[in-house]
Formats: sequence, structure tokens, C-alpha cells
Amino acid sequence: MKKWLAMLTALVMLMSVAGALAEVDLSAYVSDPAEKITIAWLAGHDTEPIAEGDTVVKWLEEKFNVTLDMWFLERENYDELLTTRIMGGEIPDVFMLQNATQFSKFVKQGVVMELPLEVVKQCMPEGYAWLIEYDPGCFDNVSYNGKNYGLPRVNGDGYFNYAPFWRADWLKKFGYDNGKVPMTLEECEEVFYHFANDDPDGDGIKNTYALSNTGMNPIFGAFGALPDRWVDDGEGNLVYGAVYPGMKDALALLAKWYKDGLIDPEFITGENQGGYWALSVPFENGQIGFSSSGAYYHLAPDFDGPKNEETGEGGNFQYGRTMRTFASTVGYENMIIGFNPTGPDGKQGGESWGLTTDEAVVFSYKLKDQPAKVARILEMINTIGSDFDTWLKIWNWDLESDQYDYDELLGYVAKEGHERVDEGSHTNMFNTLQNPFFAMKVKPAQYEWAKSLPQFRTGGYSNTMLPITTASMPNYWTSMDTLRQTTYVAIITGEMPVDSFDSFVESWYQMGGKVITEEANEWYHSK
Amino acid sequence: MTKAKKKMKGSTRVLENRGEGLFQTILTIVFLLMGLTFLYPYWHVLVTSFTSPDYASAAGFKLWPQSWSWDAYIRMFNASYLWKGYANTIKVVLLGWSCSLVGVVLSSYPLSKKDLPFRGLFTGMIITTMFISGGMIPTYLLVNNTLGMRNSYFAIILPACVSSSHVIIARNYFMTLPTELEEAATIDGASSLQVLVRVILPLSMPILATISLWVIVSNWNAYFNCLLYITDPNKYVLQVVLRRIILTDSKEMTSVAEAVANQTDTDIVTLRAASIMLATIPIICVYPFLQKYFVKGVLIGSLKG
Repeated sequence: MKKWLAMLTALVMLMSVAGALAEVDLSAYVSDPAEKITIAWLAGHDTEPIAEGDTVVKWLEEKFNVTLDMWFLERENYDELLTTRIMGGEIPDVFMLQNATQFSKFVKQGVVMELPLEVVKQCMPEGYAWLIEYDPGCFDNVSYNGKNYGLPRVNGDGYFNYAPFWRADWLKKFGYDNGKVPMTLEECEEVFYHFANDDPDGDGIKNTYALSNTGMNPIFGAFGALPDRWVDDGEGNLVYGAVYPGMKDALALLAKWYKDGLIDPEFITGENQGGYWALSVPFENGQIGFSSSGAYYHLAPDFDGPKNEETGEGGNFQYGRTMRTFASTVGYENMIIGFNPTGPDGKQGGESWGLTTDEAVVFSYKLKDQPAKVARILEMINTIGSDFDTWLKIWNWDLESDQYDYDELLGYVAKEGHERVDEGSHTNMFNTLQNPFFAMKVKPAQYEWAKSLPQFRTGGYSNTMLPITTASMPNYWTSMDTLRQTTYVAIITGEMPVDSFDSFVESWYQMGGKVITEEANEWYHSK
Repeated sequence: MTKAKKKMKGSTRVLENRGEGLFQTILTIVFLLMGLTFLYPYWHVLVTSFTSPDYASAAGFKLWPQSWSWDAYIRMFNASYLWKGYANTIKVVLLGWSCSLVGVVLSSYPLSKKDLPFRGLFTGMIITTMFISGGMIPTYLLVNNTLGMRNSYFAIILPACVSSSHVIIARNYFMTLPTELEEAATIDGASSLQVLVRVILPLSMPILATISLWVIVSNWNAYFNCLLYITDPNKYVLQVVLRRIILTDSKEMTSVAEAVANQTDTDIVTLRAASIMLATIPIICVYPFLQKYFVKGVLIGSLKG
């Protein structure tokens, strides 16, 4: 009896191994365009549901001969809502996951089907080609244990790193004129002391600081890492920024600055103070002269687009969000975008988003046996992401895209007599792959402006250096992260001596950092 | 009591009064200040909602808008979903309120009767649910799959319709009412239902008002259940609509497409403030009418048992 059982088990195992090794039958992944199929679609996300009878949805349904069952889940509670609905027996055919944690969870639970790269290459050749061209490593973010499980979403903004900005009128008082800005850490330090001590705003009161919370990122960057993301240590190994050796020197410098009154003591509560995330309230209020609170597009100037003469609104390009607030508070001419300063070893860099996000587009396990349907969905995603005219129509645009003229600076401008019909946004629901080349085409001025500034290309520290959640992370990460944050604040404010950094590193590794770093490197080396 | 004693007592009272007067003044000032510190955050939000976006996130103590603007409210009121959201929420509140009151009274009144068979068992069963809940997914399966309530307001109302703590509090209140009243009514020929409706309920205004307030507030704030069970945008309740208006406006948050697409000038800070106002003012208006019963109801219901 036992022998039987053993043989049976062996047979089953052998069969499953054979199954796993079997080549994907690519010939099955072909769809018949004449056959009308229904697709439950959540291959994107948005802030509001698409209305019933929406013209863009109808247009897509006709174009691809499908019926779209549009899903909508609130972004804030996405994971909870999606999990509950799936447990309740409903699952979208194709859906987006918001981060690496959700991705590994859904893959492990078998909710998501494997999507071999050969299938991707066959069904969306153009899309695959430009994805690889933009970021050769983009599929790393959607693979698990060496198998591919979905499509990555790339991020055009990740091409540019954050750059700090200065109060130009303050700099001028201390010898930086005509667009010159401090380039090295020493130069910055010298100016910072002036900012704090020599009354840069000229009101006779000592009420200014040099920097606050986000301004510290370029300073950490000058020492080789950012405390909250992984970096390559230069020898091909990943190390977490918080325990990167250079951080001790950075902390020593910041602690000194804090003691000397260079750092806004309110830095702990953050610079946006509950407002839009990329705003710097102390900068607006003239309390600090150096910050790095937003990405390049927040800092874009007001390109002179055609505007409604009465209201002054509606130009194709207005100020970036942060710049708009600064322009009305400190004044546009008093702002200058600087460089991430170079540190003692020549290192530099600020925050960066990385070329590929950690979002993933995945397919329901129920499609495992429906290769034709998978093929049709991939074709749709491919066409929207790779055919410019199709993309333009869904990209927050109207269907009459031939009613627009192309302008080198402004992108697409409506022809005389044509008024854009506001259909609401379809950008995010259908712009599954987020083709950055197309986005650049539509808003050329902003990209050309950013490209013309070397400040945005000094390199940065991306938070997708490790785009996966390692196996042990869920067990330890929260408490390790709390330890990191409290220790850093305590050292900067002088509550703890700088030397306590060494014991912090030790306890960080003991609390689980050692295992996680090993797992991270195992992944990193297998790339 | 002799005259002298009377006199002495009189004089100490004068002294006491003087001291008391001072004490009262200090107390009044202290509590006034305390009241102001509670009021100020709300005032701050109100002022922010009327401030023009560029000044909204400026730091400091705000007693008056630096520069007036109706932008946030105009945007809010222009969102077509807002009015529908209000109407839907009022529907949910009225429906939920009536269901809850009927449910709570009908389940707590029998439990307050000492001669009810298995009274302890029933009470125990109800109390158990206060400590052990089914969890989100089983609840979802029950409401969505078994009862098929997707896109019905009953999905929001029913799961928390008869709260066990409300039942216990109401039961405790009913137990404080003298049984003689009921006996008298019974002798006059009233049925049990008539006793409840004609005698007990008119005497139970404090507890009914208290429970009403809780139920109204919780239905007014309904958010997650709506996200879970309501997929038809025409049926969204107010809180979901407000959240959506804010999110739509902060679109530029994440990606390039969003950043470039968004052209709005109204700042998220003022919008958020305006939405807090729109969400809270109607419910605050309900309070004064119920407050006089509120404290009494909570105390009586909770202390005796």
C-alpha cells in the first residue's frame, strides 16, 4: 500500500516537473478578431469611475471588438477592496497592483497567472521593444522566483532626478550672481551659515534658516546614499542607505548644522505641513533658502501658452505646481534651481523615482486556460501603448484628434473652431504601460526645458533599486523603519551622540537587516 | 438654632460667596479659554476654506482669511455628484435611522422583562457579538453573495443596523421604568404593543435621542461599506463623493500624465477644508436638538443594569 502511495506521489511530482519544463505553446496565444469577447478591465487606476455610456469606452469596444466591463476601486483602499472582491468570487481579467508588496502577495496566493516573456514578445512586439529600450531592466519588477507574472509600468519622470532649489535673492547677497549656484558641499555650507546668521531677508531679525527636511536629501546624497532606499555599495552589492557607512559623516555634519541653527527645528513634521506633498511651506514663508521638495515638473516655469484672456487660465502650460505657489509668494525671479552638491568623495545625487515604477499589470488566474483572451488583452494594451494616434485619443483627449495642430512648444493645440469635449480622464484607466515617449511628444516644452537643465541629470538615488519585497521584509521592516527614523532625528537634533550611529547599524542588522540584506543581494546578483 | 449661630453662619456665607465669586470667575475664564482652544482648529479650517489657494498653506495663526476666495466651494458645488451625494446620504440616514430604532427597541424591550424565557441566554448571545466579529470577508460574502445586496443601500445599513451596545443600553434604560405603569395600562386593556408604543416610548425620549444621534452620525459618515458594496456612481454617498472631489483635484500627485494633465488652480488645502465644512455642518446642526437628552440618556442607560 505504502509503495503504491510512494510511486503515485513520485509520478505526480514527475508530471508536475515535466509540466513546468514544458515549452509554452505560443500558437495558442492568438486571438480571432472576429470573435467578440468580454473583458473585465482594471489595467489602470483612476480617481473616479468611468461613466456609463462613455464615448471613449465605446470607441475602444468597437475598435477591438470587445465588451468592456469597467472595474473601479478606490485607490486609497485598493488592496482591501480588491482582496475582498476576489474572495467574493469576482476577479477582473486584467488588473493593476500598486506596489511590490501587493504583487508578491497576489503572486504567492496564486491569484495571478504566469505570463511568460515569450507570450509578451509575441502578442505585443512593439510595446515590448520600447519598454526594453526605455529601461532594459523593467521586467525585473514583475518577475517572481525567475518567472514573469505581468507587465511593468514605466515612469517618464524617473528619467530626471530631483534638484534642489535656492532663493536667488539670498544667494546674490553672498556672492552668487548671474545664475551661479554653490556646487560643492563646502560651498553650500558656507552659504548656509550666511543664510542663518547674516539676515538674508534684510528685516534685521534673526529669523531664517538654511534648510529643512527635504533639503537634507541632497546632503545625504553627497555622502553616497539616501537613508530610506537601497544603493549599490560600488562593489556590486546592495546595502540599505540608512546603514551605509557614509551616512555617519552626513549625520555628523547635519547635527553640527542643527546645533548652529542652520536647520529649521520644525523639520521633523515635514515641509508640506499637510498641504500638497511637493510644497515647502517654510520656503514659501521665507524661512529657509534651500529645499528639494519636488520633482522637475513641479518646478517648471510658466511656458507662454495661449490662455483665456479674461481669466488668465487654460494655457497649455502653466507653472509647475510648486513653482506656481512660489511665484505668488517669494516671486518667480527669486527662485533658482541648483545642483545636488558634490560631497568629499565626489558623490552627488538627490531623490529619483527610477525608470520603472513598482506597479504591475497582471492577469487573473482564470485566464490560464484562455490563451486567446490573454492575447487579445495584450494586443489592446500594445496598441494603446504603442500606436500614437490611439494613445492620443484615450490620453485625456477627445476622439477627434485630427482637429488638433501640432506645435513644437505647446504640443497639440485645437484647430480654430474646435472645442475640446471634456470626457473626463481616461488616461490612467487605459494608459496601461505609460509610454514616456508619447508623453514627451504631447508636452514637448516641459521635457525640453527639463532636458536643457543638467541639474536634473546629475543622477539620483532611486527607490526602485530593490523593486521587490524580500521574503523576510514583512516580518521585520516596520520596526526597523521606525528605529531608522527615530535614530536619525535624535542624532540630528543632538539628542543622541553621532557615535551612536555605530550601535544603530548593529541593531538594525540584528533586527532582521542581515537576512533582508542577504535576500536583497541574492536577487540583485541573480539579475 | 440661636441668633448668634445664625449670624455666624450668615457671615461665613458672605465670605464663601466672595471667594466663590472669584473662583467662579477664574473657572469661567479657564473654561472659556479651553473652549476657545477646542473651537480654534475648527475655525482655522473654516478660514482656510475661504482663503485663496496661494495663501492657504502659509503658516501661522489665522483669524481671518488673508485674501478671500470662494474657489473651493464653487468647485465643490460644481461637482455634479455632490448634490446627489447629499441626497443619497440623507436617504441612507433616514432609512438607517428608522430601521435601527425599530430594531433596537424591539430587541431591547423584551430583554428588559425579567420574566422573558432564556433572557440570560439571549442577552449573552447579543453581548458575544460585541467581542467576536465575523471579519470583513465573511461579512462581504454574506451581504454581497448570499443576500445579493450589491448596489442597495441596505448593504450599508443592515450590517450595523442593530448594534449590540445600543441594545444593551436601551435594555438598561427600559429596566429603570417602573413596572406599575405597564400594569396600569394592561389593566386598562392595552396590549403589549400598545403598552410599548403609548406608555414606554414616550417616556424613553432620552435614550431614543441618544441612540438616534449615534445612528445618524454613523450613517452620515458611511464610507467604506459604500466603497465595498456600491459600484453605481449614481448611488455614492456624500463621504465618498467628497473624497473623490479631493482626489480628482490632487491628481498630479504621482505620474507624468497626471502632472501635465492637471491645470486646476484650486489648492488641495482649501478644498480639503471646504469638504470638511460641507461634511460636518449638517450633522452639527442636528446636535442642538438632541443634546438636551444626550447626557441623560447615556448616563441612565449605562449605569443601571
